[in-house]
Amino acid sequence: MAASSSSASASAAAADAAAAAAAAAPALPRPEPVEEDDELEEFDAEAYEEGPGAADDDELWKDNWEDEEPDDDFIAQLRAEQAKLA
Amino acid sequence: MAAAAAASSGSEKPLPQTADEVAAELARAERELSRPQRLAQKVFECGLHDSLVTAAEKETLRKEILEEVEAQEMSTYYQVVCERLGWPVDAALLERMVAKNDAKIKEFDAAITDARENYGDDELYERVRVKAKYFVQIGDGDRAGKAYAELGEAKVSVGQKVDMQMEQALLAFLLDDAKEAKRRVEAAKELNDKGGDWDRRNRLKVYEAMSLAWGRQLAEAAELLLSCVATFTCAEMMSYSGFAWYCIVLSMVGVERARLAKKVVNAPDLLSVSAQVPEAFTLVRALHDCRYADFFRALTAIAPALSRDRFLGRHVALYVKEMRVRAYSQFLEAYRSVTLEGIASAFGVSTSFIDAELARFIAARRLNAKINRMTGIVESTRPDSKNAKYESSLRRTDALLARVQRLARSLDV
Repeated sequence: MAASSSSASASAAAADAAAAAAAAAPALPRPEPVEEDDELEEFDAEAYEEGPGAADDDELWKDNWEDEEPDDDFIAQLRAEQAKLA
Repeated sequence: MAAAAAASSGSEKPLPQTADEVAAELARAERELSRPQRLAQKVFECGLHDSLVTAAEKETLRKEILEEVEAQEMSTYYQVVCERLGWPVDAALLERMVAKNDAKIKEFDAAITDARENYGDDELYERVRVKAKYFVQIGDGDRAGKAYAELGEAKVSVGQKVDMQMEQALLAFLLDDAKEAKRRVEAAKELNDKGGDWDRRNRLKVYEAMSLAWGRQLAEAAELLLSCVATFTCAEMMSYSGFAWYCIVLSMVGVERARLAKKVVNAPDLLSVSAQVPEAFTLVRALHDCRYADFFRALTAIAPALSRDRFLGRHVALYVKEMRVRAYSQFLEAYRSVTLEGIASAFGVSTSFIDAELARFIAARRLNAKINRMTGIVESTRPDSKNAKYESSLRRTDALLARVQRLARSLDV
């Protein structure tokens, strides 16, 4: 991609500019330069899921936030629904 | 039953004569083994809300609990239960039990001292073990733990060591101590893997399964239980029909359709007790046969039993949610598109009810579908392989673009 080939020369220029700027004690904050061993995270689509099993003090399982939905008494609602349509 | 009557009077039992008598005798002996666990279940039910267990039922259970507690001299357990359920302690009853405890412990201690002085390690081990098992019987976690700790260094077979862990696990199940139960089961497993036998291994699977179910790992529990269907010998935890109930109920969480049919719906071993677990079978058959209105009716029918079960009672909301998702996604698999009315009618509910249900699970990304409210049509967005590849390449491109953006930002000095 065009971006990655220009990045090589850009990063050399950035290093020079950074050295010059550091010497001049910059007044503006700037983002940190990317270093060789910086890790660029990939988006992880699975990042939200955490399965049960983590040991808590009181419970062996962490409640999945979804379980705390306010419409929790589905069975009662279903019974009411079935009674209506019976 | 002649045999049972003779047994309870303590006199010489005549041998069971007919096949029926043999079966009855076996069933009775098995039920004996599971007395403590059945007691724990009763205690659990007494602690539930009146809407789940009526005051009248609780009164009956209370009598049964007190009877059993006294018969087994469970002084320590009695106090734990009274505290948990807010029952007043019957001081006279407690005194009677403690007196019996003290007398027995004195006997055991004398036998142990005798063994130390006059017999070898094997005899000593046996006698300390008897004392430890008595503490298990009376439901005393502390004293049992100490007694078993004494036996920790004993030079006995792997099988004996596994047994000791399993006895402590059973006690933990009785005392509602999920963490301890888990610890003991893992310790037993580790030991047993080094040279225990198949019977212990099978029984341990059931222990482990119930420990997992307690901890909300329902699908994992199901897998273990299903692996024991043909080899169940865990009478100390539950009867075979009780085991079948858990198998059926839990396997619906994660076992996919074809395997569910083979391992549960049509499994000869489980079918042999189908008459004793009718609600569970009705539920799984309805799912299997795609009779969704029946499935929902069976779900409301079995819900009270789920709530009353000490292992599953805390996970009913999750279980019911999983059953809904399973039923809806199974239904939608059969269609490219279907009207909301069609689904509602299939499930025996109103359109608005099913609309809300589907919307909720679609938003939670549990269902692959889209609701078109203008046309009232639900479309499956099944990820077939082409779709899946498209989706995943979109995601990867997104990720790549994000990385490039970050890189670009950090280069804009």
